[in-house]
Amino acid sequence: MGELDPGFKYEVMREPGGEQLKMCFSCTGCTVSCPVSEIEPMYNPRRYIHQTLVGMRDEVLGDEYLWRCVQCHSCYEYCPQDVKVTELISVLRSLSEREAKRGRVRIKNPLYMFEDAFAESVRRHGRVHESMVIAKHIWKTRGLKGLMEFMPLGKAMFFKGKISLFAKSISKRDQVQKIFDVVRGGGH
Amino acid sequence: MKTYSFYPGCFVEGSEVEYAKSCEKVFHELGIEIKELEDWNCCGALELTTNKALVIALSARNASIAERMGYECIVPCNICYNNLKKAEHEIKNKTKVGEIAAKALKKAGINYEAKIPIRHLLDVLINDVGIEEIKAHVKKPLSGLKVAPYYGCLVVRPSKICAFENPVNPTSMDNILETLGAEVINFEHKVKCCGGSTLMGDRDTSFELSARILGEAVRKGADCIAVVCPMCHTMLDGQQAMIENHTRMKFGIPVLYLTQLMGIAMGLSSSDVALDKNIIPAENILNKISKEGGV
Ligand code: SF4
Ligand code: SF4
Repeated sequence: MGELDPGFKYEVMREPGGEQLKMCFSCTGCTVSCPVSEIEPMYNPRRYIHQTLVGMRDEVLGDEYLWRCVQCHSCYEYCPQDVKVTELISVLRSLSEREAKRGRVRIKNPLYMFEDAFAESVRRHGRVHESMVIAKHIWKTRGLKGLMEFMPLGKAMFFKGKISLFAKSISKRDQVQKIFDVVRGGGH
Repeated sequence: MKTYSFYPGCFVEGSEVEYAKSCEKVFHELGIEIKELEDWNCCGALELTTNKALVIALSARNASIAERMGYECIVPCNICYNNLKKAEHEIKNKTKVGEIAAKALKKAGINYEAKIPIRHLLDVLINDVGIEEIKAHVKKPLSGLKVAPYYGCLVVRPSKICAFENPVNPTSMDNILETLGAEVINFEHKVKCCGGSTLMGDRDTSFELSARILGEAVRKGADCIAVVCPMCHTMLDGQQAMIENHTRMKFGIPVLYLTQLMGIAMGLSSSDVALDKNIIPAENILNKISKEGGV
């Protein structure tokens, strides 16, 4: 176990979406309503909140399971204290990502890479070039086997005209790029 | 003729062509004009979790276009709907994330006042069009067709922001399907998550979550599942064969958009509602509709 960091809860509460952390009174409502916890007990939103409150920074930000949240908002809905748990999990992910970029944490879940590729596509075109981002991601994370598995669906989609080979760009891409620049530059 | 603006989103515009087409045709039948948002962008979907302010700002840009056009905005995707509603909520309430987004919008030269209502397609159908009006358009009732109504998550949660339905037991789609003449099954998984957002990260979880939804529908003898979101549709229809391989279960159940079922009941042709575009063959359900019901 790493050292406790009493400043961790303030670090989380300073992030947009993390403000409500201290309101939690540990009723476990979030975890009980969470469909991912039901499948994978290692994923436990209430535990993350508790660990954050006591300052277990390394444990939380290094936790692989953080990336399992499906953002279904059940916890958000059922929390009697309006902790906005879904947003809080996203805050923990973003802090974890920052640690990863500094080389202090290794994130194995490939969702993190997918999010980066998705964001880049939106930044460039204003829209996501879905089929390309997905195909590249499957190739990168699961290689030929992944692509082969995807082939039957990919083929069906192609013949039904559901795959566009070219990215569609919007005309005011400059506005979208400005949004990215300002939020990324000043948001953290 | 009432007019709305329409934000299809990347998914509906890109691969879920059957949704785009059936929406267009059904609204036309109902005498509603829809105008696509001009030069809309991706709302960020559920893929920018590590920067929520970015999602809020990107979504608000779309809402600002609706505001400029001056028409309430119909959103047919649960994810886009949730994002645009959150943008409205966070910016109006000047939360921390809302303030960051507002600053970005300002720097990008976008004026957004959070004034134009953002409406899910289902909200407009039940509250603006209404059951009576839908009933008046039914020409070929879906008699004998057993349908599982699947709403998904983000159309009803968080209910403080997406407030038009009951978050635990929504009934708008049930009511519409009954009005179309279908037999609606009591569906316990109606607001359970399909796991779509983690398909690219952790397939096991998303497949497991979707398998539960498909499983209940099949167990209860549904002929098809009705959905109102392209993500739910991609999981339950597009990924269904892969989910079968993965879980060694057998489903083979068609998944149709509510607007496809509406179109059929309103007497539109199967090509009008693009039935051939569904991955799990959907044409068979036409044989399940008993002929006596027809006019
Ligand atoms: S949003 Fe995430 S943490 Fe909350 S209930 Fe859903 S999966 Fe669990
Ligand atoms: S439901 Fe809310 S109050 Fe209860 S444990 Fe979860 S975050 Fe804390």
